[in-house]
Amino acid sequence: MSDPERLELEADFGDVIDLLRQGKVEPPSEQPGAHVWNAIAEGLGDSVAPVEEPVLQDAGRTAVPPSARPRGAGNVVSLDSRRSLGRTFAIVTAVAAAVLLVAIPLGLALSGESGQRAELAALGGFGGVGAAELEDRTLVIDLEGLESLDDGSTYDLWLLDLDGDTPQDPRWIGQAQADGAFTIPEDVDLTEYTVVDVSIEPDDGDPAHSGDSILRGDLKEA
Amino acid sequence: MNALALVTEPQEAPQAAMPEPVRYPFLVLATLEDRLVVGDESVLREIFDEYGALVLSIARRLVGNDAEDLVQQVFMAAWKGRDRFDPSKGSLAAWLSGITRFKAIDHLRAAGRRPSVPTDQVEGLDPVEPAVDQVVDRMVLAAALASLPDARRKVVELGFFHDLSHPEIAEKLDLPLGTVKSHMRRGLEALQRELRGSRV
Repeated sequence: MSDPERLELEADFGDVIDLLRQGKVEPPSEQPGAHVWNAIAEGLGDSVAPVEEPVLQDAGRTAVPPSARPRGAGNVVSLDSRRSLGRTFAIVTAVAAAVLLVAIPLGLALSGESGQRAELAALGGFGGVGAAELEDRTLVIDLEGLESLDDGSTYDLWLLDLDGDTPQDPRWIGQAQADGAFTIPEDVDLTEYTVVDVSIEPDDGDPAHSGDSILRGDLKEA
Repeated sequence: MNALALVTEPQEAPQAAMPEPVRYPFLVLATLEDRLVVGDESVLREIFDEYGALVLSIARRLVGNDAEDLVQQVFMAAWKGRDRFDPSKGSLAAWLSGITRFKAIDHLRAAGRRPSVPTDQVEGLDPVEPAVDQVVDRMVLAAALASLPDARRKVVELGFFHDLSHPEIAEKLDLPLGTVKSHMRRGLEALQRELRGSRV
């Protein structure tokens, strides 16, 4: 880099730039084995998972480093965890009513893969409104009334699977502008991911859903 | 990322110009960070599954065959010291990397040896700490870089791995020059935050 901004960046981020100049480091690929987890669990006693349960990689999960995962693929709660019936159960109980309060007005999601439409309703006093249409794994959105964000935050588009007892990972679809068309990745099951969600994502480098949803609606057959 | 915390906390009053977004307390949106902070007993193994590879890769570079022992020490220390985790100072990846840094220094000093991977930038009478810092910093940076949004990551990579200027990056990525500058600065800010988060 040789443009005038270089000196300014060097002044502000010298330590980072020095490290970058040493070249790219490949992300980690070696996942610690089950015996390492077992030793941790044994060392900590009953406060964490029982040792007899296999770690995720034993259940067929590949050792993908977090940095290599797509947006939204990590950092979510596994509701089928049976390891912690104490605090987790309390948390489940605490939010169950809230989930129902939201889910019921939104209506039941319908299955199917094409020819669907979602009316996106504003949440929490936002003035925006929108619609999303799904046709042959292309999701076309049309949003109105969203204020511009000037703090580096972005409006992001997600598909959620909120149906059933075990909500699954939010799937990031793309950054949402006023309108746009998005191709849904092949591994997203559109019979399960039936809720279109628009969130505000802070500029914090965290790929997971911020939890700050502003528009949401169910895909229904048009 | 504090959807879980707001399960029990009152919501802030909406602002006139820009109302606060609804923070739906869906469990599905609770982060590992949130759950560690509230002491959810089930979270440690998920953290292990998520970040074990990062910790192991750092440990492997620092202590070689003792890496798995170090991984064990790091996750046990993380659980016992979870009260000290502050999400505002960096990600879980950075925090765990920081614990790995200190555990590796202790391990190497106790064993009276240097890191298994020598570096060419180590000076001074006590080479252990700067050598460990060098390895950990580069791994933290690699993980942070990989987690940047695609456009931001590409801008940083083209600028520093390919030594392109801002206008050259703008042309290559077909982006406005201002966008490239913005991506560069914000990308470097995110990397710096992670680096500092691993040093607390």
